[in-house]
Amino acid sequence: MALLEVKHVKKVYKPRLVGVGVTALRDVSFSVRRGEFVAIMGESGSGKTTLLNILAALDKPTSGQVLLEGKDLARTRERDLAALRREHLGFVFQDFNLLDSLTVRDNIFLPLVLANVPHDEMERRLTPLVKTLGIERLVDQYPYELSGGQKQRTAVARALITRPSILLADEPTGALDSHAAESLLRTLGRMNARGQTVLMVTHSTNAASRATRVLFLKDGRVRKQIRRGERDSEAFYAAISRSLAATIRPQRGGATHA
Amino acid sequence: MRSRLSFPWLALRSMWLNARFYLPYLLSCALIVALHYDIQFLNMNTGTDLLPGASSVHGLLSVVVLAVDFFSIFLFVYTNSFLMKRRERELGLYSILGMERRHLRKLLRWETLFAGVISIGGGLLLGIGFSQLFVLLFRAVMQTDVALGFEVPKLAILYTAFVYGLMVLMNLVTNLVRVSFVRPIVLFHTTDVGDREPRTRRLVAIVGVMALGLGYSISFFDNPLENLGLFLLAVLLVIVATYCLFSSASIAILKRLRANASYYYQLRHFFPVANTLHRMRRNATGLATICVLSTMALVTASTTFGMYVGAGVGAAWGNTQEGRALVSAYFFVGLFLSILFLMACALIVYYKQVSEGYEDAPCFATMQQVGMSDDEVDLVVHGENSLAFLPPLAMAACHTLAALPITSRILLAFGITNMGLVLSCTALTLLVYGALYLIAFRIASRTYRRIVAWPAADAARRGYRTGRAVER
Repeated sequence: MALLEVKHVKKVYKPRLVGVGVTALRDVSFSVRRGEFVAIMGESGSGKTTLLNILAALDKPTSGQVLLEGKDLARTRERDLAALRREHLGFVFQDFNLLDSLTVRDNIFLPLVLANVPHDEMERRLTPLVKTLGIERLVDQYPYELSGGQKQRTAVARALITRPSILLADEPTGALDSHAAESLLRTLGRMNARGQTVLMVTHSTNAASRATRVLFLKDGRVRKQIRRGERDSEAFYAAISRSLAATIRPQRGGATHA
Repeated sequence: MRSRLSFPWLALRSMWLNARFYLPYLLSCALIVALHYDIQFLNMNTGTDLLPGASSVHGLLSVVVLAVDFFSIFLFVYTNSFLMKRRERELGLYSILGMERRHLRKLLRWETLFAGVISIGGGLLLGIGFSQLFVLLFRAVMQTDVALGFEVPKLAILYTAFVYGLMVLMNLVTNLVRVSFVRPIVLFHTTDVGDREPRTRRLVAIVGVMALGLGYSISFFDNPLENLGLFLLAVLLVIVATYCLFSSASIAILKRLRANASYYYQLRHFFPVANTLHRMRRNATGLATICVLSTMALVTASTTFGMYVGAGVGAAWGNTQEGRALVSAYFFVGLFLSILFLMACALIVYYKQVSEGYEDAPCFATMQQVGMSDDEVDLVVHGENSLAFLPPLAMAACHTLAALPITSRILLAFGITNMGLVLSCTALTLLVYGALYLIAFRIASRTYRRIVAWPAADAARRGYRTGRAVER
């Protein structure tokens, strides 16, 4: 059984009073199996963030289904959705979203505090995690004392400490310099190699080339998907670039979208 | 031609768009203007001169006017700085869109002019309307046949308009200086840089404890009617102690709470303790001010209440008409002052909650993303607000009890010897004030709750959670 199944998801934003709605997602279907590293690529306006908000149960689809471990998100009550988010989903955002008033340690503990996990268990989980992420010396510092890369590692630690079924990353390298971005992508790759399922939304070809599968989203539909197979990152990068040129960019001489 | 027309228009429009911040500002300014006018009206009313003990009443009212002026300055500065802080982004945007500083200054001048006209003009109208009510109330309380007529003393209007015109001018100068010296890009990027974790200031704590001990001990032997200077010193010492303790002991206590893992790592304590500690350095002044205002309201109310009830119960001079009139005047003025202090206090609580709500909203968005339910948001909001607002109330109650010896000595001078009566009056005042304070606190909490968190799906749609606009 797939870990995450997205079936014919459609999302229309209706204006509050009168007027024509905006269709963000037309008909999106795909599934993610346990242990996969899936990247979703698309330009601004392709519906990436809408899709991610729906997967994160922060928003509901107009029609279609999202099944997480066989459970229909649309049919889950609001109260249970919060529990589902903290127990099954880990989030990494472009702008980190760390809390300034908490130390690195307490930022990482946040979802565990929400889940009522005893303090000694928190510490037990923290030690190996911060070591893997290379932030063990920073745990008593505050976010404003950290570099962008260190902040994003902290955010990854916060996402992983609950041992989520799936890690959702929204443009995680978007606010990082190339060095920090590279290091973060290697970390995500390493986590995936250990069995962590990752779903990343990005428009960076370089970031997508670390995934095992790439979906191309355009105008609210999945236009194409390619698998890494036996290719290395460079060959996959080239393949993604070719697919991008073929699907995302408008065809030469073709009809232009209004 | 066009620019001459558009600046007042732009100013009005931006006030309308910022109504959420402007409305409480204008309302509170108008209220304090009205109160100022009304007390002036009483002081200048021809009927007041005919009252028995007229000179005492005049003396009292003059002191009250000074107190009102003092708190007005505080209120105007506080609310204005809050308002401007919220506006910085907008002003920054204007300057990025091509407005020069002189344009911004022009805009601010118009806004300030409108705000001044509305608050002073509206306040005066409100005050004139109230004064009729005051006359009725005053006559009822004073129990005299002397008529306080409905009149509109020009001098009261002029004086009030002059005092508040000065305050508006003071705010205008502050704001103009502010836009003139800050670079537009700084105005635009005014998102708060994280405060550093506050250090525990041991010396300040020691000074605070010593000042408090000294101030309290004066209460036990001083007779204010013989030695007013010592009484004022005690008041000053307690005020200093309050500020010192709120800026030092609070930090030490919060750090202790944070160090206790089994307490701290619980949902209802975790974010409240961390966040309150984090902004304590900035907040200490506000909380100490709430405490001082509450104490003033409590001491004034309980003393005058005790006096009124005591005189009625049977102090010898309570039977003469002059004595009754005087004690009624004291009661009236005391009641008035208490209401004033309570109002200032409620206003600070409200402003504090609104400004912190906007600061905390991204934190709550993040916490909801990582899995905080709406009920848990309620729990955390409640925990945080209790942590901020209960200590000032508790400390104010403590100050009031410590002031009992000195206030009972004042009452003794008025012939009120029944200590049980004084105690029960104080207890009743504490109860009533506590209830009013909690109501203000509840209203402020609810405002804060509305600001910090929308229902999850609604927030996602607004793109709030990811900190940028949702793709459409």
